[in-house]
Amino acid sequence: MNRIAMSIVPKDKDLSDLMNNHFGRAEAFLVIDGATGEAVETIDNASAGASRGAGTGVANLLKSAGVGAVVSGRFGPGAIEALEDLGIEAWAAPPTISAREALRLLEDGDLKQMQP
Amino acid sequence: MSEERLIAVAAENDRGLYGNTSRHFGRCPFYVLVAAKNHLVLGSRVVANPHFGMHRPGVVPQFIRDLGANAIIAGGMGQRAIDMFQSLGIGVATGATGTIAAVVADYLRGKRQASVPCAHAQSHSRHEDQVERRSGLS
Repeated sequence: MNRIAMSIVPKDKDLSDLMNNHFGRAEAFLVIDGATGEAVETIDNASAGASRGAGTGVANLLKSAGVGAVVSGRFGPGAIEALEDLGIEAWAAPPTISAREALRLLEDGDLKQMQP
Repeated sequence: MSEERLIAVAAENDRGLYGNTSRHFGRCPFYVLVAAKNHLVLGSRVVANPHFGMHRPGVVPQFIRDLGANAIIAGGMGQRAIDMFQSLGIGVATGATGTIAAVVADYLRGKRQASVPCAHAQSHSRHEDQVERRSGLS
């Protein structure tokens, strides 16, 4: 995976931001370059307030950003399928930790991969 | 998923949906890529234009296609570029001014579909015609 998207509660829009606890409700995604561990861009999720189906909305944007894996608190079933269709891995992280911590847990192999 | 569209908008800055639409489709520092379904904006990302400052015909349409966009919106575009985008299966809308959010909202409601080559490009081709005619006379 070349790039990793972290679903965050956007504050500073960097790795110090806290993880969002639901993929579809994330207001923003921080895209990390897997080689350097640096944040390279943010993707805004305008459908964060949608009642359902919100998780599938930004999947194409993540794909266009070259994202191979997404880390988030939870994923709806529709979102996991949409990501699977685009060849993007879904990894669940515990809530209330920073994006930096979640990234470290992913690198250490301590996160659970979600599959449809 | 199938009705979802990706729309690229030429942008003057990196402020996303709140930024301003660029007057030129290729000589702009950024593009805002907007995911939409029906009339709804789902999300957006800002993409730096790798060809900013070294604009050459053909490279921008290819770049936009590689981003996966189905449409491009800009203030202006020449006929050659319009033809290139259309041959790649990318819809073109020109004449757009104002914030990206407003321009995209208009486009999604079908208010912005025209692709008219800008006057700047037309005057260029007129210049070339005149030069050719003169050289033909001499």
